[in-house]
Amino acid sequence: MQFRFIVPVLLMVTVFIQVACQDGSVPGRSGTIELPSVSPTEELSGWAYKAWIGKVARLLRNGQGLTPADDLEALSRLKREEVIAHFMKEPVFSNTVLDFNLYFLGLKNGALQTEKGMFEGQAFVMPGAITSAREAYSGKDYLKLLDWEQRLFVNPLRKVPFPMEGQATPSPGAEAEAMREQHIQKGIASMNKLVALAEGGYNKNHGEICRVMLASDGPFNALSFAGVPGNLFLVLRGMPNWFGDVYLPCTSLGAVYKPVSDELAIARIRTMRAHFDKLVEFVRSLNPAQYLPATVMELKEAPLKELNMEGQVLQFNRGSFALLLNSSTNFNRKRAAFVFKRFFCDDLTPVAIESPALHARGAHASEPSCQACHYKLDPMAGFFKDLGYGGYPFHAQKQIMFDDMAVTDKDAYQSSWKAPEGAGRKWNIGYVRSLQFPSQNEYGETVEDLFGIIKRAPEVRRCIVKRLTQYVLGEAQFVDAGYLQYLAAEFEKESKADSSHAFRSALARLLTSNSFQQTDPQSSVCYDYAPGENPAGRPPCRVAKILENHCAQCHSSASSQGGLDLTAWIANAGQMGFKHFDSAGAQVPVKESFKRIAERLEHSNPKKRMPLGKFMPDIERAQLLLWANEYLQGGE
Amino acid sequence: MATESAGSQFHGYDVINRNLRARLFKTGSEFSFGKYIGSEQLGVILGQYVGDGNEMNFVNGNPNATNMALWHVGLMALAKDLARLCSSGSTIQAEALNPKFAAAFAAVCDWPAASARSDSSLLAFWVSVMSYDAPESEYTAWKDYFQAQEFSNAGGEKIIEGLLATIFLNPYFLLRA
Repeated sequence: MQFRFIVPVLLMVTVFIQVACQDGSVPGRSGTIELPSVSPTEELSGWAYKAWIGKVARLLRNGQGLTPADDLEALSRLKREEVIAHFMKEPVFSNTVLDFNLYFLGLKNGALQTEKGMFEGQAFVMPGAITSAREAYSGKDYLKLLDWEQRLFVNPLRKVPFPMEGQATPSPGAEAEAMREQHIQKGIASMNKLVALAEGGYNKNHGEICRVMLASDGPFNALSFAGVPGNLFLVLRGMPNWFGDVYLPCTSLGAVYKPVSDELAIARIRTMRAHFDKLVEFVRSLNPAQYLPATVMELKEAPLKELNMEGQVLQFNRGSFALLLNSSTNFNRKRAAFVFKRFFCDDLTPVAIESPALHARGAHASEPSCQACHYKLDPMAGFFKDLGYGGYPFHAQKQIMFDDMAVTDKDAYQSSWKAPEGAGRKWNIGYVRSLQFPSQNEYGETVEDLFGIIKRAPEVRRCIVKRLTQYVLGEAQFVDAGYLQYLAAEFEKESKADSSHAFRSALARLLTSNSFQQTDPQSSVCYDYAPGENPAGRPPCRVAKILENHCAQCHSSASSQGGLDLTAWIANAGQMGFKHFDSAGAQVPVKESFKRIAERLEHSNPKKRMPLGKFMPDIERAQLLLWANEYLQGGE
Repeated sequence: MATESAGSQFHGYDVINRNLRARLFKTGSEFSFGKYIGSEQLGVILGQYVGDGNEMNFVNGNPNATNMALWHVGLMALAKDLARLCSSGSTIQAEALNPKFAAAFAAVCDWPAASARSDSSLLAFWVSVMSYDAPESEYTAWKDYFQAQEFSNAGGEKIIEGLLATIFLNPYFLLRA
């Protein structure tokens, strides 16, 4: 017998049954979530409704979807907002929020957990991702995602500790636990030895102290061999009040970090000793025999206060700096590009600049073509000016070491960010939105200042909504810019009162959107519009709202300057394009019309650059320009 | 620009592996689809996130000759292995299946009995594997195809292999919607 293994897709019968408009009732926040009314959404029933429930389950359960334990018949009797609320109440929803946060930060991997109870290492690279996921699930502050100071959540210990030199890998269970305890005891012994050595004269015994500190059975390395989660280990290693002052002079950073005074070293080592037992106690509580977190909500939090680590766990930690290396010639631009792309959704598409003469002074890149990105990249990079190798702080040092191990004079290095005389600020460090309109910019000095800007910037909240849209609907799916703007505005408004509610609401809006409920969505079709929007006769959805916001004031049917009406999308010699007349009143050919639009968008002369004399965010300019260029190359 | 379906990329190894585990096996099962393609390491060919941690991207999501062949080999092998549960020789323990799928499976093992070929048996089987990810028209086409005279005398094992393979290789099972 032969089987044909692909069932032919016979008919794409949509089984949407339109029923009388649901009233969009608001169950309130106590038991459920407020589901806002969006653009009219088709009502579903029967098979299609179950399919939608399945999709919602898959998304809100972090990929798990419906399981045989679900009563689908009962679920399908609930209203859509009740279905969403049902899944958002499950603790596994916190895993979805974490998965999204990682996507937002560019850290998303395939499966969130590598094995039962073990979260993927990426989840801990930027601690805000986990904090925020817990907050969102608990109805607290989702936007802790953007805080500089963070909490520390950790995985269980490795099931099997690493063997030290000469030891064989133990079997899981009693043998593994015996080896783990041996390692911990070695760490405690080393810690005691360090105290004795320091008390005998830190500088006199510096060589021996370093040997003990860096040995595989040194206090922290022993814990690492015992299977301590990587993020906890990396944080411990970087703690100035625990380890930094006495540890760094022992490492390759010793070229810059010189041994401290006996007095300070003894104080530091005694502090370390005083907290080491508490650390060991916490480490033991992470034994996988008792601790296997299935969801983000079950992750254990390190007692930072008890461990003398309060205020020391930051958004960028050793793990993130290990990924954002900074060489002696990079001037932190890689770190700056990461911030732009991940927090501002700005991938630094070059869109030219207003006028090179206005700002090419003394910055790192003086070529006008390079300035298209560097005018904002370099001031952003300056926020990291005190952080060198591995992200270690060099505030108190005269020199700075980079990830390529090069060392240079710190003042000379930082002089590139000095603000010119009369600028009214010490540093040319900030989030630069525009050179032509300096009042749009925000300046600061440190990474902490940067996160203050990130937390305030509306661009960042818009970026969260944009990424959430891509996460729910897929990156290839076109979304009307006006709809996106509407979602972002609602999020902005709601997040002022309750950011967790704002996040859930934004998610609910997307889950009830027309786009989400399509069985076979076409990527170039926009299925949703902001309330009251009528897409008929408008330019393509990708750009219509941008044109309306920045161009229509001068280029509409009421005021078509230069003969160009950017609100009217018409057929012209077999192609779609804008209504565009030349001085003789003849329609300009579509290609020519687009060529002129593209030229004026990226013109470097402020007298020609559009929109004339007005601020337009780079991201939107880039979006418009990319679209115009794509259109020029093939047409939509 | 050409109109393109947003669902033209594979879900990828991790999602399919998770769906198979959740829908066919009991909670906590050790099932891994990697076994049927030779190694979990090959999952990257079927679509997976890779990167340096600083920038992760989904790769190999677009269907091509290599990944399609590997999906085919792996899913066919899984279909065959599961189907052997109707007789003997399967590497899968029947007790590892989740009760809902096991019941739907057992009912169809009796093929060509009328009860096995009934609408209700086939619907239970389809939903337990595909869930409601595909439109009803897909289910109807699949059901009508197998209820045709051509398969009226087939044995349960062979039929189950076909029923599973046709679901596994259905675009609604494999591709992102």
